[in-house]
Amino acid sequence: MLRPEDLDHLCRLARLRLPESERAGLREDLDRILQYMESLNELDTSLVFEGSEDSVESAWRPDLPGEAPVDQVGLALRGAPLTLDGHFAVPGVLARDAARGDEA
Amino acid sequence: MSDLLRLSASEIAAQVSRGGLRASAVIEAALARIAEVDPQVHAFLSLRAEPARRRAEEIDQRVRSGARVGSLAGVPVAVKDNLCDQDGSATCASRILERFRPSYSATALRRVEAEDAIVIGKTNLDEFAMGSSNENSAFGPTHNPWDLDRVPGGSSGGSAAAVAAGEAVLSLGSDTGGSVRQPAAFCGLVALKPQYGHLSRHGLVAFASSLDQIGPMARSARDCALLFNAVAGHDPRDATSLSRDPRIELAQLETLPDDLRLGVPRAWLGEGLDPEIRSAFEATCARFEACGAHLVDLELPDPRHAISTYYILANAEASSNLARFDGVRYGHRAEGVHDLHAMYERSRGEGFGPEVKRRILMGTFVLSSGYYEAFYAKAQAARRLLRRAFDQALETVHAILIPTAPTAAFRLGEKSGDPLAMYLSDIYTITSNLVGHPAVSFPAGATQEGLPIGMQLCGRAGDERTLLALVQAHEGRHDGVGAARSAASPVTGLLGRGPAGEGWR
Repeated sequence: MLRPEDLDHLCRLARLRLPESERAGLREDLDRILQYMESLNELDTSLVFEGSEDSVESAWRPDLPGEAPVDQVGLALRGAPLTLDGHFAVPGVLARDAARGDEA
Repeated sequence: MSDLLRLSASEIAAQVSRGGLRASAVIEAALARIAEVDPQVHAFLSLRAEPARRRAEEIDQRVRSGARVGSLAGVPVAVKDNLCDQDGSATCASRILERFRPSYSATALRRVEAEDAIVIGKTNLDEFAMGSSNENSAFGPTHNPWDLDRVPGGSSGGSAAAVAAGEAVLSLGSDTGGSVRQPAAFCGLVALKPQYGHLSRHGLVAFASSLDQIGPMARSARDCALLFNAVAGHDPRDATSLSRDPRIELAQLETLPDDLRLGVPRAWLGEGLDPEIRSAFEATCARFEACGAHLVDLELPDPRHAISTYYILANAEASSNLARFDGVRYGHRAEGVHDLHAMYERSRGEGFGPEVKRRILMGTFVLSSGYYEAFYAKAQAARRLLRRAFDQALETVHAILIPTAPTAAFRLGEKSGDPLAMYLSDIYTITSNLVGHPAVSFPAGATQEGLPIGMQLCGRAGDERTLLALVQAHEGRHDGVGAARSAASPVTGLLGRGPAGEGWR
């Protein structure tokens, strides 16, 4: 059974703030779904070695620089919510003051 | 609806390239059809009317000057809005990407345009392709053109509805767990989930990278092959793209393998399968027998385990892939937040819808310390077992025949309150994604109420050709949704009777 503090922990890991109105329903849904998924325990996988599935084959390519767009920086920044002197701007990490930025 | 839109993609392209039909006329017909029906269907999130008109004009000009045009000349194509379009959007039907403008176009989109197809708009989907009904779109659901009170399926519901309603002739969707095949079944179309690696995913917004594939949707096997040929093949920009050339000679669709054997996993046809789907399945089996196929009973692993495996792995990958939407470089950023972590949390909390949050949290859980072994590692091992069982089965048969979905299209709102019930509607499609092999859904009748029924063929690694040849052979013996449909009363009148309402053939 997923406890409220478990949900808090998951939200912290996923960097997700949930409105209070969504919490109870989500916890119930997750519980039911995870319970269903536990049916996998019926399956004997003791003889299967670990690791992800291999793909059919790998395709290799030479590691060469491709053709770059003329204004790469401008293109990358054009969708940014906030920019500063040609960089992405974010609120302070240590100091709690807001980033000084230009609205994109 | 204009008769032009009843033509197949190959007929349109052939006539346009000969100068017997103007691409501009086809595009005007498609735009008129969209204006007429899309307020009810809501297949499109955005249109490219003017660019489409300019492209059509340019193609007509080239034809007049005697220049060669591509294999899809003048064909109106609808593209799912999780494929990046440099001149448009990639909203993924999410608030978080509502105003996002991609800085490049997806390879699949560039390739259809290189064949002179005309992209007329971007279609609706379940947010980030997470869903089976299109009801998880942040911009409102798409309605099934066969019955507007029902879902078109998902997540590529907009792409399916657009073609079914005659707003486009072909469409591109993406398929992580059945997302082109199940909507094709609900809307009476053919849709192919190609072999993993046969179609470049460059520019497809990632949901679950080990499962995602882009898939063509059409009204016939031949048109589906035509679109597949236009977009398939190696792309150095996708590290999972295979080097071999998977394109299909269209003439090869006329021949079936000698000693054709189709596998039927009878144990999969039990609980939860609608009786009408079951009888359509039996009828489909009989038609393939009439084509000379020998049906072989198969034992395959319990499909409930595939559901668990899929939802563990897909959500784990989604929780990792969707970490990039943090309000820093693009997409929604919460306002008035003065702390970095709070900015991440609030931007994501405001931008993602409920199903996406549920899946991110589920994926976070199965990857978290203490649960990783029991869920994620277990599911990886289960995937390996499933693949082994499938490969063994496919050594004895050319393809596996199963329904695409356990029911026909359900009503809007019928399952949206119960995520687990919604997940179970993917029970027949997810296996091919877990295994990586190709699978195709095709129309095989209609319910008493006149709703399309889809059947599915799951093939050997890399063998799309046999699947589409089988679908074409089936088309020769059955008119898709048609026969049952014309006996039923039209539910909405949107498709009407006549050739369109009778399965397009």
